[in-house]
Amino acid sequence: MSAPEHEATPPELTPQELSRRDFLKRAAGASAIALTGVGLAAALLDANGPPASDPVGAATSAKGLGDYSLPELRGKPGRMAIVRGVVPANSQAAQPDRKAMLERALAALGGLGAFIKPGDRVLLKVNAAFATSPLLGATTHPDLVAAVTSLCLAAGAASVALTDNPVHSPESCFALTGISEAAAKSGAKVILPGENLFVPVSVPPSGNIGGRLIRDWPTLAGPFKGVTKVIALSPVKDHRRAGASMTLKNFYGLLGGRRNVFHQDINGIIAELALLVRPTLCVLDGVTVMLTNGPTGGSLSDLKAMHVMAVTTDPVAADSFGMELLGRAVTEAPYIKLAETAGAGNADYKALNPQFLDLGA
Amino acid sequence: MRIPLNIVTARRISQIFFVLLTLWLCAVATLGATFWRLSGWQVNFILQLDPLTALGTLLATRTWYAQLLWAIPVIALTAFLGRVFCGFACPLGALNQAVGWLARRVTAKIPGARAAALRARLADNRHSPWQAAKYYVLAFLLASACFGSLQTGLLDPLPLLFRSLNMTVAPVVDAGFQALFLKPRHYASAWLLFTVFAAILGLNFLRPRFFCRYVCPLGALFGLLNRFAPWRMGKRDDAAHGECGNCTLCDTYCEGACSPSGALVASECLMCMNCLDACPKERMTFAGRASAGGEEHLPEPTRRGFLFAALTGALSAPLWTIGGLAETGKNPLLIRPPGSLDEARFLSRCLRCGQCMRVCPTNVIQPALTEAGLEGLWTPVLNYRLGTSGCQVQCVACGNVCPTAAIRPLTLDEKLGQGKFAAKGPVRLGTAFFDRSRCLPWAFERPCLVCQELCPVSPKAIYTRTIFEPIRFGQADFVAAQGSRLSLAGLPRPTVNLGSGDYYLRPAGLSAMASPEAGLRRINAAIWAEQGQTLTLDAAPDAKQGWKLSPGSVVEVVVRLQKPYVDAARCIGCGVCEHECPIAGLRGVRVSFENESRSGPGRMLI
Amino acid sequence: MAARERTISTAQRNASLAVLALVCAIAAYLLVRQPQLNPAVLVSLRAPAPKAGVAAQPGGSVAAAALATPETPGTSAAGGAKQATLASLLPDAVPGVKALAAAESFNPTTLSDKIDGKAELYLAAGFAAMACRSYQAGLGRVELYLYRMKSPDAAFAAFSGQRRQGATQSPLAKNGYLTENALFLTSGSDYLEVIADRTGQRPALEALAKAVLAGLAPAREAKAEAQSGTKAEAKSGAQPAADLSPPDLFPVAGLKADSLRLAVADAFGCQGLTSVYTAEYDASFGGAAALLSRRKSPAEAKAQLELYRRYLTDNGFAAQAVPGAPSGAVVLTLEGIGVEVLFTRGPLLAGVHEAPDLTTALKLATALDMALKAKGLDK
Repeated sequence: MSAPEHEATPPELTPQELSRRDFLKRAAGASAIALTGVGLAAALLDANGPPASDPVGAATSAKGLGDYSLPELRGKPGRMAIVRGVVPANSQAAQPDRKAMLERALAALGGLGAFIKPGDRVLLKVNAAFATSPLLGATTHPDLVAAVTSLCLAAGAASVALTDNPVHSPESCFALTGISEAAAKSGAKVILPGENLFVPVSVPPSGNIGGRLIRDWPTLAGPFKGVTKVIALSPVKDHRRAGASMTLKNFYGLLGGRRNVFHQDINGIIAELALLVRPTLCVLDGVTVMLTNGPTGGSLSDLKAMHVMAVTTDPVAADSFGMELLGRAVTEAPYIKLAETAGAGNADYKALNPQFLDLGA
Repeated sequence: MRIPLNIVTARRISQIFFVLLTLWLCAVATLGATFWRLSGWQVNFILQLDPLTALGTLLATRTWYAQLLWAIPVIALTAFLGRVFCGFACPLGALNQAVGWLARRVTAKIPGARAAALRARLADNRHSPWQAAKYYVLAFLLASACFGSLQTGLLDPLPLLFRSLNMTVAPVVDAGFQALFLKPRHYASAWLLFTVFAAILGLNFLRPRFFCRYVCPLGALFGLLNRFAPWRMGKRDDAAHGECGNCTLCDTYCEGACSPSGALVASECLMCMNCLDACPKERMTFAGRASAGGEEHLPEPTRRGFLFAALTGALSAPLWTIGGLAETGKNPLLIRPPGSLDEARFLSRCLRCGQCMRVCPTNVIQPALTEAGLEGLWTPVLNYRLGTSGCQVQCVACGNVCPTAAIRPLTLDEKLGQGKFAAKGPVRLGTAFFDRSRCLPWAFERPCLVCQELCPVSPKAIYTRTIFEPIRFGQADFVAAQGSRLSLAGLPRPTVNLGSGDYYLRPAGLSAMASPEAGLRRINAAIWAEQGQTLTLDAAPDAKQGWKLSPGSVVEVVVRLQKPYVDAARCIGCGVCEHECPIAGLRGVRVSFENESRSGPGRMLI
Repeated sequence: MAARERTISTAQRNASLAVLALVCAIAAYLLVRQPQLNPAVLVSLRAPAPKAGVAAQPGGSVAAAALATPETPGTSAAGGAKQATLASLLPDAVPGVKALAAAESFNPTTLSDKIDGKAELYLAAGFAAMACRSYQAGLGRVELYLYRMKSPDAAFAAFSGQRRQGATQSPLAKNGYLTENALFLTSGSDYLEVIADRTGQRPALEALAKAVLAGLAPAREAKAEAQSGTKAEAKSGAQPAADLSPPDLFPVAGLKADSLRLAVADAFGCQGLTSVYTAEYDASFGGAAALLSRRKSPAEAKAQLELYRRYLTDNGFAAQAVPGAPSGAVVLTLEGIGVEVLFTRGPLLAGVHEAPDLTTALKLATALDMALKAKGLDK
């Protein structure tokens, strides 16, 4: 900023020597600037120009969200239990107790301890797509969330979290569906779909499915970090475009971005979702089933009380059972067969030899 | 023999060379292989010399693009010799200096005029603390670049000059003799571009090289780079040259206003060398030591202003992101040239130099005024109405003249999606959409098929479905038939040429029948008179096809329409359809950015 | 600024000269770079031939290609593969030469897009595929064309059909020559043209040709290996005279260098006359040409003779009996045009074409007959 300070220089130097010293200092400084330029250019040189698409996205793209099925069951027929509940006599409740149904079904499958080990970190994929009352059956019922959470914690799970990327505002969805409250009471953590939790993900192809639609697609991968078990909790609903919305369609809530472009190939995308994540367990809640005006419903007249719940390791089988609840053929939701072709499960739930249980008996 | 060549003359020759070179490079930037066309001219040479461009893109992209390596020798030269680029090379600096000189030429032969002019000049060239302003400008621009928004080109003199020449001076000058352009060029917001350019030149009346002293961020960068320049201008103080008389002639002619007679502000010295020439005692030198009058580096201690400017610059980029214009809120009409990077990366590279707009053979590339938001001011955007056609399929000019690869230099194979790019498909700029309330066949039952005919994609991205529709006021009473000649009554005066071949006659009420073409007879000629109408058909009407040839039966005129549709999976968004659409204002078919290649997945079709 | 009389110091003068030198250096650099056309200019100058897969749906094009293959087995797919390898034989760069653009490939239907007017010549000779590429060599441009013909004969026909006489023999190939600005040669079924836009480019031409030949060699070896099983027996032992091809049978005395040509079809303009080799002779034979064509059988040779004889008589030639002609020879003359002599020896059709007079015609016919006899082909 100013001429060299004279106080700092030893007095014996002549002005010429001073000038010479200054010159050398400056020459060194100038060389440093020039060399910094050269060094930066050499270190950061981009000889070929930028690539057509942003390489950052491709670099972080993972292969699906993971396989959380039990290793000992892989490649083998899934396990399934179907339970019919009853509304207890002398009770205020209009619906059967989901926790009792769940416990009965799990007991038939060897107890939740067969699936959740002490120390497991469990993620629940709930359907919280809409900010509507749980009475309308468009979302996962809070009683089911609470029941699964408390059973997991009882089985020794280190943590239970739940997530979804809903259609409506996430905070409203989790609050109005009662899921937030159920989670808070039972000890599950609600993970809201913050933008930084989405990561570009690709689904590796399997058979004719995969590798086509979910390609470097922003997917809700953040909540899966450190997770060891995944349980899908899905209602059974009519769906105008897809035929029905149950377990596999529930995974649509893991997609981010402008995901609605996928409605051009709804069966293709749901079949790829079956490959995106393989859950440990699927709970299909058919206590009330939305028969019409799905997937939002909006009226109690859209619902029918069926008082049934399925617990299975096979998401495809779960959906084939759901179609039966809806009174529809499996072929009316073509993605079920597609998912089976891709090796994601069995499109005929009866092939799993499900155990039929009846709490009323 | 000694050549009478002093350094000021050499500086002037060099400046004239760079100005002429700039004009030449602007003039030749038209596609063609001859000497006065683009051929192999390095039209970006001067832009590539620019260290501010190199540094700005470096901060914004974390890479140093190979095309910008020419900045290295300029940086090295500045580090050792000072702002020689400003004094000897910068074409805008030379223009500023020339205007400032013209503004201060003494012409009146009035006694004392010369002395007064010299006094005024001395006042004009006195150092001002406001010269620190350009460092704030630089801090703002570089901080903004750090966050991915490259705005240096707005005020960087080299892109600014090229932009101004390309889009205001060249089209205006060439309008007279049409050496560069076959048709007059159009550039949106040329008025604003020229206002800025003219203001920069005009400010030289206020102070010589006003822009260079107060505004220029490139000059500010040079002012920082010469911090340690071992050789610099200065006053010598030795016995051989005697005492400095403080005549201030050096100050009088100093272009950089760096006060050479006193404590010389080294960062402001433009290396015009005028002091060297002006000093009657030859006391001014360019040497490896500090000036005898003392030396400072920067105009003022400016840390606070610098930090404030940097902070606002750093905030500007995130604030622009909040606007969402690069993502969810993107203007549907923001169509970038073929090969453009995705919007975020594009804005980290585009200099707004206007080279793509200059070279585009169809003039569709336009400087954005509002299309890309404030952040994208004067970035290239395609306007299919202004150009002379759409984006030419067999053309890759824009990317190949882009100095920073904001528009990637495509090969034809990549642009068309052939050869090894076959799996990727062609580069799409957007998708054409028909506005059925404006398209002639859709809205006005008028035959028209220009868009489909001129769609350059193979197979065509525009296809048609033929239908026959009754025209308004097209019913008449059958009077008599004579072979294929029919006499009718009651047909209102037609507003179209019924004999054009697009119009047909059929018995009224047949449309409910199975075949939509039942009973149709083409009208080959029509004569209309109030009292009766005669139509000549292509064949005699056939009773078997529903014709009742009895007087009083009703017939109707129908028009054959080929209604156009877009096959979005094939449309590349070249805009030829939009350009050629006969609806002159808001076109009946318009391209918007949906499905553009650069946006990545989820753009529209899957 | 007021002009002042003053001396200019040496340092200042040198600095000024250095500035001017730098300016000149920049100008020189820009002028040197100027002839290297911008890729955009190259694209703007010539429209490339259409290629498959233009504007196809992404991903869909692959499927479309896969679907198309079964419909045209072995033709389009195999042809495409062959073309791809052909284009890949054209190097990106050799020392001092670098490619200006990607190689382009052409097939029989698209060839005329590239070499309009001359395409017929190659198509008639038996054309399979062509790849070409532009190069920058110093200040000039070089165009390289690699033609894959259906057989070595076809390659030779394309080569010999345009041979310029008086050119320098190329050391790179037996059938190869250099002109002032170009190099032409054949290698197996391939015919290579390397053409510069100015003279003095021989090193660049040869470097490019060598690079292409080097690429061709491994391909040919692989092919030979694959065929060796079938052809090995036939090739064992000394080559019998009956298998000698016409180029080896022409009499050597008086033969003009580089005059051997092959007309694959429509030789001398006569429809149906095929695979005729001609060789020109010097002034001692009046500049006449000898012709030879190997047919499948003696009967076919006779039929070809008859075909050509009728063609000649249709065009005004008159047959005449001449003593001293080779046995069985037909001699036809047309005043002002010349003399043609035709005879057969076993499966060979032989003769003399465009002799200026009867004497030289008979001299060359006899020489040819004797040469065939010497090889044991006098039946």
